[in-house]
Amino acid sequence: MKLFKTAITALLALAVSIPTLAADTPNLDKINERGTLRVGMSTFVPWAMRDKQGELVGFEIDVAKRLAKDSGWEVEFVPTAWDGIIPSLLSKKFDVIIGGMSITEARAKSVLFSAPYSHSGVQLAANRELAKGYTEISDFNSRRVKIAARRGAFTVQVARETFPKAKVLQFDDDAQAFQEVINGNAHAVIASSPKPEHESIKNSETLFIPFSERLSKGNEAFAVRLGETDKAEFFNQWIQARTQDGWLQERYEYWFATLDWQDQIAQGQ
Amino acid sequence: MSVLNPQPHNKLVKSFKRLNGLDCVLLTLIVLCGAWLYYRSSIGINYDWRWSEAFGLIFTPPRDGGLPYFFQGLIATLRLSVWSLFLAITFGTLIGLARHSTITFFRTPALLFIQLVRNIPPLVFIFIFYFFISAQLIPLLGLEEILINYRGELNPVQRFLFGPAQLWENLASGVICVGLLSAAYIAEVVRAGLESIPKGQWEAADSLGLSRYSKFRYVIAPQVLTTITPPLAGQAISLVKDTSIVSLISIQEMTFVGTEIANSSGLIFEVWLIVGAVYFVLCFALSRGFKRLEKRSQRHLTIL
Amino acid sequence: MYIKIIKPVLSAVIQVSILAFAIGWVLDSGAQSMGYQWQWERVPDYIAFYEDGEWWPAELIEGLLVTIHISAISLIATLLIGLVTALLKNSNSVVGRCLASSYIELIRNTPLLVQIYLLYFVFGPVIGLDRFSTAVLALSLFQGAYTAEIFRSGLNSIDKGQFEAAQSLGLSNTFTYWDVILPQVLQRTLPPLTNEVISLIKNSSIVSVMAIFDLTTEARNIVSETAMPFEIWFSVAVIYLALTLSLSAIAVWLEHRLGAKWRTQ
Repeated sequence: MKLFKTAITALLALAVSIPTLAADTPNLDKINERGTLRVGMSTFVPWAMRDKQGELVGFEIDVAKRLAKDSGWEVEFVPTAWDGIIPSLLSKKFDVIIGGMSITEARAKSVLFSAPYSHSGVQLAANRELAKGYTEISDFNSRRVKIAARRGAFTVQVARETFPKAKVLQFDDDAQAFQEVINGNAHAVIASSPKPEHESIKNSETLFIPFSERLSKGNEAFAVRLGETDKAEFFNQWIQARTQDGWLQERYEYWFATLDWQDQIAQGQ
Repeated sequence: MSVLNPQPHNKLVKSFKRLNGLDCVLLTLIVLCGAWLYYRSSIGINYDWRWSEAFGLIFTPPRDGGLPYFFQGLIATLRLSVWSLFLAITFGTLIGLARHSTITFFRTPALLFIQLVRNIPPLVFIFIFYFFISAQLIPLLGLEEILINYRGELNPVQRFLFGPAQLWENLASGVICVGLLSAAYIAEVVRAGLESIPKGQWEAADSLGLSRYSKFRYVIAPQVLTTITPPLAGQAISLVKDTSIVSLISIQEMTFVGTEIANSSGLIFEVWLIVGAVYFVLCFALSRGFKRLEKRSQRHLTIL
Repeated sequence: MYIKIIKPVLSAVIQVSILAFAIGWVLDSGAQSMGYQWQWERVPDYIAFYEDGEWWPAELIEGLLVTIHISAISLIATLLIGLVTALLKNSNSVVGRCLASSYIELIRNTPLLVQIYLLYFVFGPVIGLDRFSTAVLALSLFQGAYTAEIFRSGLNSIDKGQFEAAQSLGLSNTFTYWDVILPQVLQRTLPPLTNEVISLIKNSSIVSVMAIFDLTTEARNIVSETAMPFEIWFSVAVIYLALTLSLSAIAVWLEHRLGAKWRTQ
């Protein structure tokens, strides 16, 4: 029995280590046949958003377009509400989720993650009036405090873990969560970096960043259905290649560190 | 100057010249409210209205030609409404007939369906639909091949009727969802219409020896149609409004498009006001159209 | 007399159980084809939990209480708004009629979801209300437009003779309405009004976009955190069904008490 097990493990290791010339790629073949990669994403400035012409632009869009181009596919985006994006993947509405989805244990039970391709953290932006003088984690960890977040996002989990006593208001969109805090109906909003930093620069009279350190360092990856290991392997290789040649880093900095892209979309004050 | 006597509307013109006490009170209230709102808006929110940018967003076409994104959403809403209405009327009529029938095998499932849909919130229905039915029904009906993997070229008629091929599955889910929702209410309308026909009509038709089909086609149906047209019109308008709820399950109609545009551009106020205005114009035009149709169809009932 | 009440209630109960069974069967077949793992044992955690020797309500029950709370308060506001609008529409004040008509047309021709987005995210900061009050306002403004029509048809169905008789008795405006007209209107409009209550409860689920912790919001939050949509949505649908069907049963009882003969006039 033990010999059998070792043999099988060795064979598997061998199979996995051989690059994509593996004979069995049923899922990739489906995409090849169709010729189009269908990508599920969600509007989330600046990961993915609509520009003035109504077309999709953003970090995730660039990544998806480059992935498709490098693999010889067309790309088709399927905008989906974030809290329904995993069920939509499972019902085969698209092939992969490229939306800055953080790797979490809970999600890994339903989807297969690729290797991480970006590392945003999670940060908090607070309302100047309501959260005046709050600088410590303990200030926000109180029953009276309301923290806004996007439903289904990793940030909800972070909020619950870091501020267990606070009330977490879950919205369908990040924009609504931020609007809530700007309107003064919640103490703070918790979202993926660097969105809170950007927003507090834009709305410097209403928002500020109380903490100097990010609350959590996340890893974001592509997500495919469980069992589609051929796809995950393929994507991993692509991610590795693009990390090595620095393209991913360059795109990340363009979209997150600079604000040059703002002319493409009409930004509200 | 009593509030007691109800006044018919066609005296509106004459009444304009005589504003009474209640008018003055109300006008003062309106002015006060307006002033208060204006005051609150200048201190409550510090927002620069950017209408020109918002209109620019709405009307700018994409780079490769075609309709502006907002109008794509509007047309999607129209398509969704029209196709759901077809489905709802067809399915609703069938269920209404089943509900009215004497065979329990037909009546009970129809009743169960109507009770279920009418008693749970539409939001709960569409989420249940999203998670279960849409994932099961579409492969079940064998539509998966056509809807998801269609790769042929579209001729203009197909494009006009159904929209771009990659959104077919989206449209189909939306149509089935909204159609089922409305079918339950239309079924009730049809049933009420059927039950409002006096029993004498059925009996007279039977005594004339008319076949079942002739009875329905020549005696019952015309009367039912006249009765159910007003509530059906109301239901059609409700359907157009219900299409906005399916934006929460990522059906790409006008509310979803509005959300994306508003979130991307940050012009939340302007975009939402425009979306509301468009829905208003749409539904208002529909309701006026229906009122005219009603007047014309009632002509045969007016006593000359 | 009891037969008249028991029969609809019993039929409702049977309907709910058959429905539950049918839904269960559909869900099961659906889940099987998707390879879904049932996690029914986790659902009771969300309904109630036992701590320190007492039962505490958990998320779903709390959500249900919020739903009932919002619906109840909105009901009072709705009735007020509906009544005032109906009276305005029937008055001989031009401004009043214009106001009532434009209000009704505006509300009835825009979707509730868009109204809530507008009211909460656009006008909210202007008016300065908190979340709960804005939700109540949005719901009652919406439902009020429909209730106004009910009141109006109720008012119009009152015989002109009643007004004249009251006048000939020397009753003032206020007392005419208070003692003579409104009680009759109430009796006639009660059945349609109970439908409005059920509509309110159904529409209250849309306020979940405003992150009010009602039953639908709690369900969506739990589903997005635990990925067990089937169990949660099934339970929530059953809870709503129970709520609305029991209200319908109460409506039947009320109609019986007040004499159904009013309705046919």
